[in-house]
Amino acid sequence: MKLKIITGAIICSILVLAFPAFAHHSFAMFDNTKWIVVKGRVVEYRWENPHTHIIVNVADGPMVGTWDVEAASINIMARQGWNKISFKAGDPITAVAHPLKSGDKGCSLSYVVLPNGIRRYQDVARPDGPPEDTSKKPE
Amino acid sequence: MTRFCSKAFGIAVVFASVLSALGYGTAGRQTPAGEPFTSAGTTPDIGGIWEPRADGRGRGAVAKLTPAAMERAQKRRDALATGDSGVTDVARWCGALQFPFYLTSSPPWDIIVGPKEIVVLAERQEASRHIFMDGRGHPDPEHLEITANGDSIGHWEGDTLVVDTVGLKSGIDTTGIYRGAHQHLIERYRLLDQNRLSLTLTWEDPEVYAEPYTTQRVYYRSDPSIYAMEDWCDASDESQWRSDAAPLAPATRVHE
Amino acid sequence: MKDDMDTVKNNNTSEKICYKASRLSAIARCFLVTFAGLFVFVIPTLLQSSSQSSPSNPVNISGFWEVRYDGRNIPNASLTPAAAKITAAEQAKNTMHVIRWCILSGMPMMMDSGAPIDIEQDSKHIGILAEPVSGPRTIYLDGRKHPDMNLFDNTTIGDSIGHWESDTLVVDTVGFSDKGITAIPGGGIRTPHSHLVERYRLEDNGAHLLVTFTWTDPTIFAKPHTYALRYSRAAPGYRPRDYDCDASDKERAAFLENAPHE
Repeated sequence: MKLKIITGAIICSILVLAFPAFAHHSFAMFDNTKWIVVKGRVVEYRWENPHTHIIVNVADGPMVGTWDVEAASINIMARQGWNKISFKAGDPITAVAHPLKSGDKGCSLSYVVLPNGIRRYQDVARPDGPPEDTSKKPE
Repeated sequence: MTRFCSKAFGIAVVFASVLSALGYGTAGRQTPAGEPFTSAGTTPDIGGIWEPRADGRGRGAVAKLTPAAMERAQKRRDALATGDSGVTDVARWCGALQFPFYLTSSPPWDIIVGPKEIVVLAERQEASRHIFMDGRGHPDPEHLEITANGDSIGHWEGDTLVVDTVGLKSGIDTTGIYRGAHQHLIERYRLLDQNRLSLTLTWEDPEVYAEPYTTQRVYYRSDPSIYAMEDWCDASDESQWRSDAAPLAPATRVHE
Repeated sequence: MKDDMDTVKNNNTSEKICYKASRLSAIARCFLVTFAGLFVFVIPTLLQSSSQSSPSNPVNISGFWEVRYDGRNIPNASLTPAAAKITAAEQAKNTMHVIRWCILSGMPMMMDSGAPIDIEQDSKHIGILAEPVSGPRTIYLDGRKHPDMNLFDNTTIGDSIGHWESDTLVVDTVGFSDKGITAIPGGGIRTPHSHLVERYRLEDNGAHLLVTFTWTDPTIFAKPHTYALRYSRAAPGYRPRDYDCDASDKERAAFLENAPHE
């Protein structure tokens, strides 16, 4: 009984404290335990609030198609080194993200890998990405 | 001669120190408004832009919740699992984010230390806070307005800025969490070094916490190139909300 | 022995002189040391950059300031032909839309919104906080230039940098968007091409704050447009009111959208 209360208290407190960084929709849309790499060319770079969207065309392979890569607000991304001209149509892009649970071609961006192999995160958090990803965190 | 000299020197030193302590010299010059300046160096330099980083994450003991709060938290956990975060409608309508929301949000915020008031500028339009430092107390309950940011008064205790806030709105807040009618938040700000600001937040809410709940977090001074941005939100632009999974719904009013 | 006496006499004199000289130089040395000591303590105080004021930050304009009924001097603007075509009705419609949807108002409306503004100044920057729906302005005093406008995301309040010219704060703002309430007192509207220069000066021993606003915009104004607001201090102990704008409130929406009837 005591253990239950303690466990309950821990779970409750996590809920009370760890409310997600301001979300206008549910993070539960995305599977945060899975990683995907969207590698292709930018179709459209929408630098805007509440969320920046990068539309990416993957030319071939198992991920072939047009993807909606969703990121944070411009207020958050600007402080991680992004700006309104970070990408433009036609640019190559490698986006490491969490996929939609639904299986549709949408994902929640964690970071892009720049040509120099450094990650540019979209938010303050510094998750490590999929194990096979050897790109480096910024300093 | 030596004795006279040392005496004179000593008197001069004492005289200058007394003048300095009384605020004379540049530091004590009166403004045309007649408001005396305080000399620098008497309070730590916490003015400027501060940002959270991945490794500044809050620390704190596990919160002890009231039974009612635990029930609510369980319901919320169930809702989250089905994809309902509870925040959609407030966000959809560009609603007010209540204090202390910006402290756990990612964008930086800016402390300006005025002569009688400290303001904190967060990028959401209504999130800016006024912390009165002029010795005033909170209004009595009859005159206390219940607001999104509450009523904040502050004072220095040595090198620690202590801020006391009451008068916060109750009900379901921006993040989907229920907050009671008798919230009392105490912040303690202390510089760890010129570039790190430690904040200890004690949250009292008899309807939620069985005992006061304290967390601590470190913020980092932003690069001098950082400037304020606008947090643009247009409730009339439905295209903004196209990525929402949930249908549009009226905002949940924060107070009942 | 005469020599000795003479020597003694001479010695006395020279000794006297020496003694006098040494006394003088001792006094001089003493003053030197004393003043050196004073300077060790006084000069750092003088050079100390106070959190509130320093030679580079000579005046503090902090406080709650309001525009009273006699606080406006607003001449008519001289508009370009294109700007003159923007009707008052169009502007009123835009203003109503911004208010109805709780959209950020921005400049210049937030400086004269009906509620006092709170100006808080420290050595690095000044914040201007308004009560109604508008983000706070930040005026940087650290000597920085405006950010690269090719990378800047324009806002309803722009990017503001300030410096002192004697007792006058001069603020330069660019980077405006065309969103929010764009109407400018006296005529014309704020656009991304707008350049605003403000001058802030305390008057009447700090009882009033005179602010002149000069808008330059080749798309709107035929010549720079200047108007002035003379702020008075708000009542002592003033507390600002809450942000309270709910765009989903049906009664509120009905009030704002529908023409009033008897």
